[in-house]
Amino acid sequence: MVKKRLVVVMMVVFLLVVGGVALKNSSQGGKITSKGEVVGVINIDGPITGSSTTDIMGTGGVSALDIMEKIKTARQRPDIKAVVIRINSPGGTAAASQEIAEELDKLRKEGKPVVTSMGDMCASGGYWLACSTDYIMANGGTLTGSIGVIMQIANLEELYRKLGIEMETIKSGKHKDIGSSSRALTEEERKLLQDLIDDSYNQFLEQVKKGRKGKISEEELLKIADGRIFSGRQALELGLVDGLGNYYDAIRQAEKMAGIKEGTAQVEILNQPDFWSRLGLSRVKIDNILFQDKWIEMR
Amino acid sequence: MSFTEIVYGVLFQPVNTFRYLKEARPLGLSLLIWAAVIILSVVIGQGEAYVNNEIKSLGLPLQVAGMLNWVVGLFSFIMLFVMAGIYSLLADIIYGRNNAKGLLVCLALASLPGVLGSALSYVLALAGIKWLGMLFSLAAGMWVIVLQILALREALELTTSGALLIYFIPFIVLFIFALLLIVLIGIAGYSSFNAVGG
Repeated sequence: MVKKRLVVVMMVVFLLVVGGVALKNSSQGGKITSKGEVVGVINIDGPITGSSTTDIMGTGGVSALDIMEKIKTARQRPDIKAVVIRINSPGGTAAASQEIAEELDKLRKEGKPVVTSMGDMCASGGYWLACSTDYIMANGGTLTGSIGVIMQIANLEELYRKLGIEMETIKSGKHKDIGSSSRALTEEERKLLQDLIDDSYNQFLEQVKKGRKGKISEEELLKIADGRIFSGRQALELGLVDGLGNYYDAIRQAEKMAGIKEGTAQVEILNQPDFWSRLGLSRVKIDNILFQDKWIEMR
Repeated sequence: MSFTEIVYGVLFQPVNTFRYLKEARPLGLSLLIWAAVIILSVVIGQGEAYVNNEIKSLGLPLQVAGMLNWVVGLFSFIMLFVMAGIYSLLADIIYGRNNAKGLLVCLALASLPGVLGSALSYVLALAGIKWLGMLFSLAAGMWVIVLQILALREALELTTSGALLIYFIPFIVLFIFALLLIVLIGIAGYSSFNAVGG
């Protein structure tokens, strides 16, 4: 009887201890298994938006809030010594890119080097982010650049007329329906919006100037900052990127910059692609470049 | 029998213990043990998934993966009643034997080795010996199947071959249904392909 009781008690204690450890482990997101020096990887895969949530199919782009949260995690975790930002994005909204870039700057101020690894495309808002990293690594065939800001408004006045739709507008001020699809822009409105775009563009230029200081002259930058895109190789020649190489080269670069012995760091992807992305439902497609449903975009 | 004797008995003297349980039918105690087993299994399974990066490889958001674990746990709880009902019905139809409550008690307790397997597997995964953990999990799974068949045999007073037959009938039926479904989908796909092709 004593033997039976001993066996059962030992078993129950064992199960409770293991259960407790498992609970602690899973509530810490598996950190318990992390040993040594870590290079954190943050994937930015898709159009960058300021929205805090993506739609149910995960097709709403990359949420700035999610990315900032991961950057904050990288800043707070002492085992993460460097971060690689893997960007595969045609761009996004100005404010979202700005927010993420500011968070990257804070991370760098903590003394953690940040390396950009460009995928198929790292244009516009994606390049804005890259300018807030210490080293930019592109593939020879990466499409990058597109330094510029765009706003497109469809004028559907004629279509509405053909369909017999007449839009009634009641507004509190003369510019409240600026950008309405039911009429053409007035000259005054066009100027207002142009000023807005110019201001966003200037902010973009300042960001590139700050990020690429000493690597490209202001004069050279102004010549090419007209929205055109470049291959990775062209971008290297112009000084828009620091080196050519793939994702693993970027990891090695991050190790080197953090003073970690080559090939010894653990690589931890801080934001895994979601379930729907894995089913191919939110991949960056070339037609996503025509990302037209946002107010101000950088592409 | 006390709690200690029941737990020890199910693991190391299952035949005699199941014989006792089918008569005594301590439903409350067995369901309590079953619930504890399910909760511990879910918690340990979640921890193990982190260690083995299973959640990451599935790409599920952590909250969804965690919720899914609990849904699976709840589903197992419901499945216990479904299993006991189906087995009892089958035994009644085929052999004229019926002891649903006794069978429910025995089946609930037959799952005990499963949680031991999960716990050992988790400890070994933490120690970096995942393959050994998987072997233990597999062994525990086999142990549970053997105990479930013994539970059927003892609770319904069947022969071993009778218990085996009853145990596997639902799986065979499910397999046939799945096969039929695949064939039907295939036929439907082929027909629509022909229709499109003209």
